[in-house]
Amino acid sequence: MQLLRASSDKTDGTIDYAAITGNGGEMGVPHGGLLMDFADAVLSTDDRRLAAVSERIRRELGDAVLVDSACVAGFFNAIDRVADSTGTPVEDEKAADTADLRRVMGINTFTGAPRA
Amino acid sequence: MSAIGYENAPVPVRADIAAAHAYAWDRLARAGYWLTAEERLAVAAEARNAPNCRLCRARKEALSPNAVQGTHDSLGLLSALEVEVVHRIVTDPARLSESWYRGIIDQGLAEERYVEIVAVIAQVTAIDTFRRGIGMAPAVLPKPAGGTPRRTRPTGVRKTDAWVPTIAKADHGPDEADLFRGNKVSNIRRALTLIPDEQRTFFKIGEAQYLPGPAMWDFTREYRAITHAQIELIAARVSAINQCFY
Repeated sequence: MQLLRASSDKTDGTIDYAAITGNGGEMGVPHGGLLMDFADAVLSTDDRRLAAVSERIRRELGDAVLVDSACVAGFFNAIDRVADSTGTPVEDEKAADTADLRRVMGINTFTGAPRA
Repeated sequence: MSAIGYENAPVPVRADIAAAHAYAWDRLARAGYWLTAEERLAVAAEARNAPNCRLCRARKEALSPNAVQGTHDSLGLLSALEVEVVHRIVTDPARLSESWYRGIIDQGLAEERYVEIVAVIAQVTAIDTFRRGIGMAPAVLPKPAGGTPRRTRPTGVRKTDAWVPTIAKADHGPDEADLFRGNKVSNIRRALTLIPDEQRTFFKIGEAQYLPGPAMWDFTREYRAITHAQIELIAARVSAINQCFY
């Protein structure tokens, strides 16, 4: 969250953070809707949907965008499991810096949120 | 040597990605710190098998995973306890809890073996998901290359704020100094430090598939075909789908 906010602040825009945990759509990052569709498709079991989104990325944005998008999806699909299975806590500073974003995005209600 | 390559990929794959994957695949086939080569490959195979497990599917649908009892559909290469660990981490990671972890350890799985299992799952997941994303089938697992587990714990490992023992920045020895470069070391960069080579391998993959540490905060230029903001957007979306709080 810190890096998402920082990267947005350093570039151009206002991000609709709620869209990231919602239904997606164009949300302030160039081609954000398409890239979120890709993330959804990679993590789904729907091969036809993935093929269609991938083809659209290749056609509209190029092969290198597909490769780098797949890279990020793959690494975070893994790092989420590392965090969840080792009980790695969010750093206090990071939690404080992103408290508003976590509220807007509904992250505090995630299944993986700390339980009392 | 392992056989994981991208010469026939449907899209050109950067050389650093191919190199990181080849390195991980080669290590996967060799004895680790606590698992034999055969055991590491069995974990990898079981991780791929987990989505087909009927018990895991039923648990995923249940309000609580504890509400559904039964036996995992496994390949029969690991103990029942290890299969439970692999399947839960693969299929329902967001609902893991410290009490579940403590139960696993209390039933006899050594913390060191647990962390090495986590690391193998993570490395295979990162690579398999990437390959799926570019339209490639999972790579064939390598043949076991032998070796003997080192069975060593690094100095400075202790239980702090994670479930598993880790090395804190202030506690590391000279052999782990490379893991603690920079002023700040995020908690996730300590998660696998009980087994330093697993931490190194996982973040070697991370540097290729995500960004090297300094590049993460360098907004003066872009390092990939997608921008920092696009990278973080995909990361956030994946973590949201996985319901990962971290």
